[in-house]
Amino acid sequence: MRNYLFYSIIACLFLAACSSSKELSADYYRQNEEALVSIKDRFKKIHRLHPFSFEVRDKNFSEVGIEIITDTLRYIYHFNPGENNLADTLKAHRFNVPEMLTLFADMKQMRCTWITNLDYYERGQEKYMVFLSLRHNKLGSKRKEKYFTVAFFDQPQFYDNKGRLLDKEKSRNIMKINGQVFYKINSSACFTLSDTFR
Amino acid sequence: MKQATVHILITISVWLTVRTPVLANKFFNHFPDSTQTSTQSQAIAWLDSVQRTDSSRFWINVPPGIFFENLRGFAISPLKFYEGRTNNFCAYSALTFLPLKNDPLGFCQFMLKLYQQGRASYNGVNFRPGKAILLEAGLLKFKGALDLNPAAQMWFLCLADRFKGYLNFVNRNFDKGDENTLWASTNYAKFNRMLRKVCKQKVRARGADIIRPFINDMFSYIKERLQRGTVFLYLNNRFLYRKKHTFSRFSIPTHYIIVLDIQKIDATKINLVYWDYGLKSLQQISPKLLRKAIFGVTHAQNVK
Repeated sequence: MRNYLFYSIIACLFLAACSSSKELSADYYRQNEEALVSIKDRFKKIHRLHPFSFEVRDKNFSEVGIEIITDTLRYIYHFNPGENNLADTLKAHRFNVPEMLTLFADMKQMRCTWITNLDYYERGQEKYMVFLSLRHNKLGSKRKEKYFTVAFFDQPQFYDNKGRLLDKEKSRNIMKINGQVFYKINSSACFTLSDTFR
Repeated sequence: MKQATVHILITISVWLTVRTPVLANKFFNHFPDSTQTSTQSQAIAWLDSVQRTDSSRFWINVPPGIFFENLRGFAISPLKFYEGRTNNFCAYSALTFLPLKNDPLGFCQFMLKLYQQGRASYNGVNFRPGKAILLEAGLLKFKGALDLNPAAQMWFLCLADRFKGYLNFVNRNFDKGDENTLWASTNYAKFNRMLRKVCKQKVRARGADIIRPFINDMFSYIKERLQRGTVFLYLNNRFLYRKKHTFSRFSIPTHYIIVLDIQKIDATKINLVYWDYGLKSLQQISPKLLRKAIFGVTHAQNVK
């Protein structure tokens, strides 16, 4: 009887842990949709003129990194806490510094760890999506990190009856982004829970 | 008297002509590249002249139009050669840097022969891919720009099929999706062996799969080797591209890059210019991080 009770409690805890992550990730987007879409839109606007990616390199959100892609070279900079040369670097690369710093501040507030423009190929055509990762305390555990990753597409995408992202209409092939299966949020946005943020 | 002066001058000029490379090495620390066997323009001219073939009966998923476009891309912009995402092709891509740089014509000719006959040899290395490889090239998906590069897919799959290391013992035969598994992975000894055989260059390697090389001043070591050839680094990718915020104490190398330049800014900063994922990147890192990240330094000398 005692054993039975013990195993039941373990099973309940396991089920609760599984469901909380899924619920959280689905709800998280709905609750924060406005802020996330605003980050995505501003990123896309700046990216059109100056291609870049932004990352947060530590758990305290103090060490950041930026990748600036030019015609000839990709510059990868890391900025340690206390260093004030992020603005100087942005200025040197002719970014609108206040606009960028506001975007980074908003990203930090939303606990975004990575944003980039990712290429994918549909019927031989090159297309892009905005790939955004978040690190939420409730999603992780001490043993394994979990990142909530959203992919924003320009066009509506196709999903199967389980809500998994497909590579094209009426296809059976599940499209993988960075090796992960993505699930529907709405017609042009989908999410996954991943061990890595990029 | 005049004749004697002329003779002396001729003798000096002949001696200088013969000795120039030696003197250049001695005084300017410059080593000429004797491995360059063809140029980009030769490769492009050859591709323009070559008769377009019909679909290959061996590589049924590689359309000839895209294949020739890919070959042209290899010749015109070798630095855009892309290994793809979420697979284990980085070693093969790094290695391809040398054929594309030193012998674009020979490489394109080899690729065409491989396409037309289903087998070919490059620098004496025979490639006879099996049925699974022949069928898979052109079908790899969700790998970024590699999706549109069936010629590169052919080459990567052939290399992974031809060369085996101890990491490949558990999975020696290709099955669908194996480009992401141990089947395609490359340990350090295998990488150096491939480099020696495929590129036919003198290769010196320091390092191992688990233990870092005992090099006191990594910066100076790389800088000095860079002046005499191509330097490949075998390193732990998470130091270059952080993917998560947790760290394990056990660190293993996972990625191959090519160093294009290295400069010391001050005692705490080094500018590392390298090539991977079809891009030239500049990353500012500390000497400590450089030492921690690197597990192997391979130097392919500019002599055969």
